[in-house]
Amino acid sequence: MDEEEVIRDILSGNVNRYAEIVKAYQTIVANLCFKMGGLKLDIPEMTQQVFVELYQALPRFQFKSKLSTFIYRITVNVVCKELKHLKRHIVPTDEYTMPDRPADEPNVEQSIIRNEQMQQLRKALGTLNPEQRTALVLYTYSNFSYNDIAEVMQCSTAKVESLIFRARKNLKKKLNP
Amino acid sequence: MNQPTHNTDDPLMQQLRNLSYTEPIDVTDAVMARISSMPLLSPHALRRQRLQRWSTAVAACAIIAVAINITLLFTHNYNEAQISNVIASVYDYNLDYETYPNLHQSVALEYL
Repeated sequence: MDEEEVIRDILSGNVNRYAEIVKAYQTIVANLCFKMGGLKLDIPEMTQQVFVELYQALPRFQFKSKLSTFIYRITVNVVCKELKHLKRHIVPTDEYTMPDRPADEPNVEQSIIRNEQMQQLRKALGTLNPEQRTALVLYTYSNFSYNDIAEVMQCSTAKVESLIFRARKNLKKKLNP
Repeated sequence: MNQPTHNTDDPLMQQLRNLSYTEPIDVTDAVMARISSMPLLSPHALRRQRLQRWSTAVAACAIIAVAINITLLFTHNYNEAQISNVIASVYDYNLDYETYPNLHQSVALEYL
């Protein structure tokens, strides 16, 4: 999909092509919402909200940055706004708990250990402050540079490095007290 | 360019990468339904809208500043200055309080 062409098409009135953008990015947006806010956020509703706000913001997109960066920035803003609204910057631990999935691993014991580890990780992630959590979550996307993260969070790359460093340190401390 | 290391050997980062929303999600129809009634502003209209917002904000600030000035003038500076001037003028004409208490009272009532 040539994103620039699709966006120009949408801006010139062919709104139906917006579905292509939604289809291409909805899983990524849902994941980012989940990693940042946990399950109490109502992930499908948040994902919808992100795409509605993206649509309204589309005329402001100047093709200087990647569309993904623009989408991540809107997602971060929408999630932070919602967390603020819920007065719930620190997500209570159980809200990160996903329903159990059928085990991928053939070994049941391994599967249980893995699930427990993931739950602990979600709990620990929920205790980080929003800035640290956002930086760390974005850092997990392997195609994201510090510059990209700084652009999404609208701060300096030095601050991003510092936030990630402190987030990792805090997370390790929580997981291995 | 300042690139992250994305250390794949770090088990913590590996776990974080594996953390994902596992429920199936498809919000395409819902989003398309919601945006169908929304007008998409052109960049020109967007600039005009931003300009209007700024104008409104500047006008509001100006009104607040004028209101503050008027309030200060009438509640603090103006009264004190006027009252002292009036009282001074009363004394210049030797209209002291003992002789002309009613005059002093009416002056006070007028300005306080």
